[in-house]
Amino acid sequence: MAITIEVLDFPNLPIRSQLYYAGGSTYDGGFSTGGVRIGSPEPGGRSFLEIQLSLQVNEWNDPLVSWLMSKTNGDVFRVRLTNTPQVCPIVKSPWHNKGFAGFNLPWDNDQNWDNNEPWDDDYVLDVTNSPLAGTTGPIHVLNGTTSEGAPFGQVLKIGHVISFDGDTAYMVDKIQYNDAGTEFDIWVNPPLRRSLSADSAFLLLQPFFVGNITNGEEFRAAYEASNAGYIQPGRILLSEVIV
Amino acid sequence: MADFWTEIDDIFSTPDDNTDIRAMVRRAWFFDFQGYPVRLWQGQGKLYGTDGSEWLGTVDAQGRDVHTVPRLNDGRDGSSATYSFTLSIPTYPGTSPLELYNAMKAEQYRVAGRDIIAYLALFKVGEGLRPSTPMVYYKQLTMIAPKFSEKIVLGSSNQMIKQYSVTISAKDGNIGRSNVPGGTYADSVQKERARQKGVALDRGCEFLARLANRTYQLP
Repeated sequence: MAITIEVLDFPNLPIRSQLYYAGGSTYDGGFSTGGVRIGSPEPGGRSFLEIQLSLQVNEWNDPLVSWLMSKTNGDVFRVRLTNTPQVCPIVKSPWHNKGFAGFNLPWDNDQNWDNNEPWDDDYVLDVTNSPLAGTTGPIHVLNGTTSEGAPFGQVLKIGHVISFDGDTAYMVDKIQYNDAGTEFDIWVNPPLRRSLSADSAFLLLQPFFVGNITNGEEFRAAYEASNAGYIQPGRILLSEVIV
Repeated sequence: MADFWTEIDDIFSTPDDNTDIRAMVRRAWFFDFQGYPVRLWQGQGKLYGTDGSEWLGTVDAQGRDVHTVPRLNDGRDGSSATYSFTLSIPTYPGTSPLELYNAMKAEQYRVAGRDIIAYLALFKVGEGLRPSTPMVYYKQLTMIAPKFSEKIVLGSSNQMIKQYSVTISAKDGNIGRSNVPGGTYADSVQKERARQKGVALDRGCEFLARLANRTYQLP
């Protein structure tokens, strides 16, 4: 009898800081011939997402933080990473006027939409080989083109975070473009949790992280009268979960 | 895809080579419970063997190993040590560790007399969790009996939680070596043993009965 784990959407709250990392761990590996203590690296590893929410002012209408602070029992969340420098700057980041605005789709008269922004999109790229679960790569991906046919170029770099459909986020550890810049191979960290299939897998340049909150004590904060009900929660640390 | 010991030899290199020796080796444990074999390894995540087997990692995200394994000694020292393997049943949402604990108790007949086989897995840089070197046999033990225990511990958020664990005791192949072998010499016994070995008639012990209570003086 398989266990079905419910995955919740992490609420769309304004945040102050965010970091994805997959640092791994080491075990004591003995001494080297030079007399230095070395660590034996953990072959697997888990990734983490650290989020610091900003002051939440909308709790009177939508007490999402109240709900979130009681969801520290191992409940699994799917979090969309905000556009920090860790996410490939395909669209403009709300934090900084950085992004390839030309990749977004304007009206056919080349004007912005009603909200004064060009059309936002989930940029997905096709995976063309079938790497197995547990490997770190190479994953062969076709680079994308904009709505007007111009190639993306070498926008994806090491240090960027990506995810695959239905899966959690990975860090780009190594990347190798072909000469024309139209295809590339990436190696990821931590190792792939699921095998990918050349027929159906695709890579999301704006990734999702799947994990659960592990530091409920630290994250909780109280509503204060002196703050008129605004609340500043503590740091949230999410640990990767495989569902 | 070289053999494990060949790779280790390559890592050790020549005796006068003074580079650091670094080998990522982890132990993997195959518990051959009757009908439900379990494969575990000491690490995080799922390990994929070269033969298609999948091994479950017993180290959680915080680096704690829920599977306690003993140090293995060379069994030839005559001590016939008993090894204890303990699994602390982890908790995760949607399941009850108490149910799992009770279910294990109900199925403890699957343990007695079955094998535990330890393997070593070598990881080369960049391989992730799918090593290209086949896992090598390391040691074999025979399981004797499980023991179940529950205790109350202080959890990470300072609340009391119940922790369930299962311990399996096992011995290696040297078990029983110092037992006195039972058996006796008698004509009927000798004839029966010979018949079992395919000899139709063995009269070698026919005079044995007359030797009882006799004293022979050697000159």
